[in-house]
Amino acid sequence: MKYQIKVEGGFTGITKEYNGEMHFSPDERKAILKLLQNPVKSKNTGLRDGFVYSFMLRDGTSSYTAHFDEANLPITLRNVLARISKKS
Amino acid sequence: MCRSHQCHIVPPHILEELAKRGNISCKKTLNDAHRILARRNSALNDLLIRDAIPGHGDRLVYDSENGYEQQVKLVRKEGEGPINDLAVNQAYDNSGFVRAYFKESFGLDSIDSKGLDIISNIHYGKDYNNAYWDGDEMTYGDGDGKEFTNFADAIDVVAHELMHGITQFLGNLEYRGQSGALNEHFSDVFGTVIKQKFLKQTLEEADWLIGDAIVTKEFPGVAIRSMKAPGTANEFDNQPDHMDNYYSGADDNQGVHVNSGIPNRAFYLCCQEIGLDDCALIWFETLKVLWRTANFFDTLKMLLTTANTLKEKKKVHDSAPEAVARSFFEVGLTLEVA
Repeated sequence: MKYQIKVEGGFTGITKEYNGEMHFSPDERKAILKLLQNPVKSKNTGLRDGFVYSFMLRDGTSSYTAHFDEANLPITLRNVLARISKKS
Repeated sequence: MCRSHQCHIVPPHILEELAKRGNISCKKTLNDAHRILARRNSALNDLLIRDAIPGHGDRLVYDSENGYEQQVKLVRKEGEGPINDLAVNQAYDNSGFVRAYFKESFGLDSIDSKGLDIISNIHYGKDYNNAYWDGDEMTYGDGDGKEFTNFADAIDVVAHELMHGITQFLGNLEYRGQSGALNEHFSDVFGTVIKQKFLKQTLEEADWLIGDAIVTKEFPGVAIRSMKAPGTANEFDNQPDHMDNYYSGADDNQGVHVNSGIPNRAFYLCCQEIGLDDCALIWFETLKVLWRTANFFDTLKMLLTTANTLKEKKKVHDSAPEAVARSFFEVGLTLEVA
């Protein structure tokens, strides 16, 4: 799957962008797309200096976009981001 | 006159206008209403109602054990001695210094002036390059070791995050656009003030850098921001130092970490004229009278009002109001004359 991930804000205010392609197992793929299609609404409006995460994944001809913050980024997507940032 | 019980039925835009005209009770009502609404929404999402727990301003340090949860393992609390973990002791000591500064300088009882406990979470996440305030507590990453190091180590970072908490309870500046840039500005102001106190520096000795202690030698720059020369701290630093270069894009909540460079530079200039302590007092007292949607011009207006009041009370230098006006003029902000 092709990905485009943007991490902005934070104390540093330095935006990081990751573009590329990564292989996911069918179960992983299903879980990730489900999270992007049904993002949990953020619970916390008091966040200051938290990161804002924008995910865009392309699966064939379909693309899925979702935005998260520190309070609602699911651990599955955190792990995806950790793998990608380690790779880059 | 607007009393607090009458303000509840008054529409927010009228409350804001009255607050702008100096009505403290309307400002307080607005701030409280937004804070209560945010907390209620959060509580409803959690399907439980949390009551505020009165504290004693105690420091509590939790270890996230490199996971993404807060309050995982309590490792040090108020009165306990150092433990064998540098980040724990740094979060404890630095938050103690910040707490003492606000208590001694402004009589503030912890973050909310009501003794809110100061909770720090350290070792958050893996290679996590950030520190943040979440409305209740602070969270620090260890940094990735490549470009950033432990965020709890830096006194200006700790002061910056704690100040977000204080701003939440005093001015509650909305975190987007100009009010968001002001929210960041006040955090940088007290980050740099407290750093200079911590290092016992004079104005001349101070470097006016924010976050210089969390960047490695590999990082392409000397710090995260510069209050003296916004836009020069690193290769990514896009902070303007004048309204001519104001960022009007949508990124970063409409540039909250970008446009803060403009008032930051004004603060630096003002300090050169009347000193750090006078400026800190004027800025802190101004934050108390600002409101949720205040912009740069509103803030300048209130800074001038506050400077005049403090001058009359002989609490700041006689030239303070002129120094404030001149500093903001230098960054392209002047009050419109009707």
